[in-house]
Amino acid sequence: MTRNGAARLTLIAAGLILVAAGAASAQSSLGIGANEVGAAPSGGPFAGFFLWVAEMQRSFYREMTSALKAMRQDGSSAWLLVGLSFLYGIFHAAGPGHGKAVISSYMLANETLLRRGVILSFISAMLQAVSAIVLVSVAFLVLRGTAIKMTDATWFMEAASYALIALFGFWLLVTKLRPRRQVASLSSAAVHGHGHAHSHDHHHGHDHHHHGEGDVCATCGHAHAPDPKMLAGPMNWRSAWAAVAAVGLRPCSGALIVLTFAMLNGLIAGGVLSVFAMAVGTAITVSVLATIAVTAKNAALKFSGSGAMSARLHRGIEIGGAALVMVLGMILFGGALAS
Amino acid sequence: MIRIVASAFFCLAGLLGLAFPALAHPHVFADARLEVDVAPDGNVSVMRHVWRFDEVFSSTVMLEFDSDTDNKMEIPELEEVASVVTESLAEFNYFQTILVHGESIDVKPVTDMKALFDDGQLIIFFTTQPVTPVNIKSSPSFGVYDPTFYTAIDFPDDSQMVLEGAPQSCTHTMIVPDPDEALAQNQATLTDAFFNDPQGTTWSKLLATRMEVSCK
Repeated sequence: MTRNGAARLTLIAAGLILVAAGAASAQSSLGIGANEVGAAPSGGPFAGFFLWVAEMQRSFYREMTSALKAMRQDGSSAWLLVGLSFLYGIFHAAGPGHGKAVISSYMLANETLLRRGVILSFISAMLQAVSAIVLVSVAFLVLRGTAIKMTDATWFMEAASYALIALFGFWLLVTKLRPRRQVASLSSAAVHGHGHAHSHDHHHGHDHHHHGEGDVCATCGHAHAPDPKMLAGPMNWRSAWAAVAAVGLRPCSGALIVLTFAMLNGLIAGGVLSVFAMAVGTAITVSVLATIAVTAKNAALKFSGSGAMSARLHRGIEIGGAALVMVLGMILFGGALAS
Repeated sequence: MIRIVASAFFCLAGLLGLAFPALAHPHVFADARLEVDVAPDGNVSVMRHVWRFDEVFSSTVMLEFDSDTDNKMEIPELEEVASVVTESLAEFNYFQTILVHGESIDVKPVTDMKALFDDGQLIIFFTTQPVTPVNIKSSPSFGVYDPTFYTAIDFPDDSQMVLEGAPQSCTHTMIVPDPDEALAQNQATLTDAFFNDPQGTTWSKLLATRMEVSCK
């Protein structure tokens, strides 16, 4: 109840851009299978574009289902399905889904290098494929015949994924907000901090049980301020993994459908290959979107010139990105609980 | 100042670019048949629905509901499918849009859904009744549409929309709206709906494949 209330409050705060995500519902209208978390059909200035995307996806999906049927008759058409899955992945990622939003927001908050965004997109898409394969295998081999439905298992993984995203965003926000004060008051210490970078990393070493390393910095409590480079500079793999895991935990429903059909009809290899092809397609689209987000950020920074103004803007963008990840996670989680 | 505005613009553009999700799209396809029965007094007595689902969705249903894992759906398993589907559809007025002079009329809760498997495909049968009497002479229309876009309910041709028991003077036609046209003609309504209609009722009205009845 409070979770819902909070979600609603943040929805209002997030404003127009998140209206669509507010209608998120993991439960499908038929009660069987998981629906995408996406916009409820609605109007607005972009409705024409959305309809076009939906139409494209729809025709791909039809092609794919008929390729599945063909594969059942003749194993050699598996390649057709793999190719279609790849294209489906590309188009599907342009549609609803939280993965690209989280990755892009994370990029806004943390990254300036495009290469990293591309790597992150690929890893999270591959993890999504793996999680789909694990989920369907477990459903097929273990859960079958039990009272636990795959729909329930999918819901659980979705809810867990959303909760992780919200936590991850919260932690990002904390790390973005805290050093600002310290860097401002201890600017010399911050510069000095470079020298401590290695020992700082060492501190992280024994914190794997914690969810986020924000805790570490909070409990570090040593004389030196956190190295600002660690927060905004080079790739922070531990936080990147958190983003990847939070996104990748939720399997894509297209992959689930292909795999379920493939398993029931004994076409396991074709199904698995198709799911990975789909993941590669998804990764390409997410990479493009993440690139757009970072390019826009860099353009904004360039425009604002140098100096205090730029620094403030930089921080503003980063905090905004972190807040967006958190709000998105909360809304999606609220939606999953409500359904 | 210009810099601040320009920066804010880029910032916003970046956020919008990543946060605008597109419409959901169908994951499930069903070939449908609709029969509207008219009682002697001219009121609609019952609407009969048959939905035949695609093989791929049907295999998901099989995986989930075939509790004895024999790849056959027995009666208790089918009953469970029917009850899950009934319960979920209830939240969406069973995908029904009955319009009389532009006013939409809900249907009563469904109590008679039956499910069966035929050649690897799930078929469901159920009937709906309007909550308030709908007279066939009031030129009603009967639409079937999933407002969440999850299921695409397709009527293969107009022989799958049947009107029974109506006076001779009544004719009916099947309308399959063109989304682009519906969009162009209703831009104002839809912009309003964008803010006020999260359930997508407006879209069901505009985009549902429907039977339009007119009586002279």
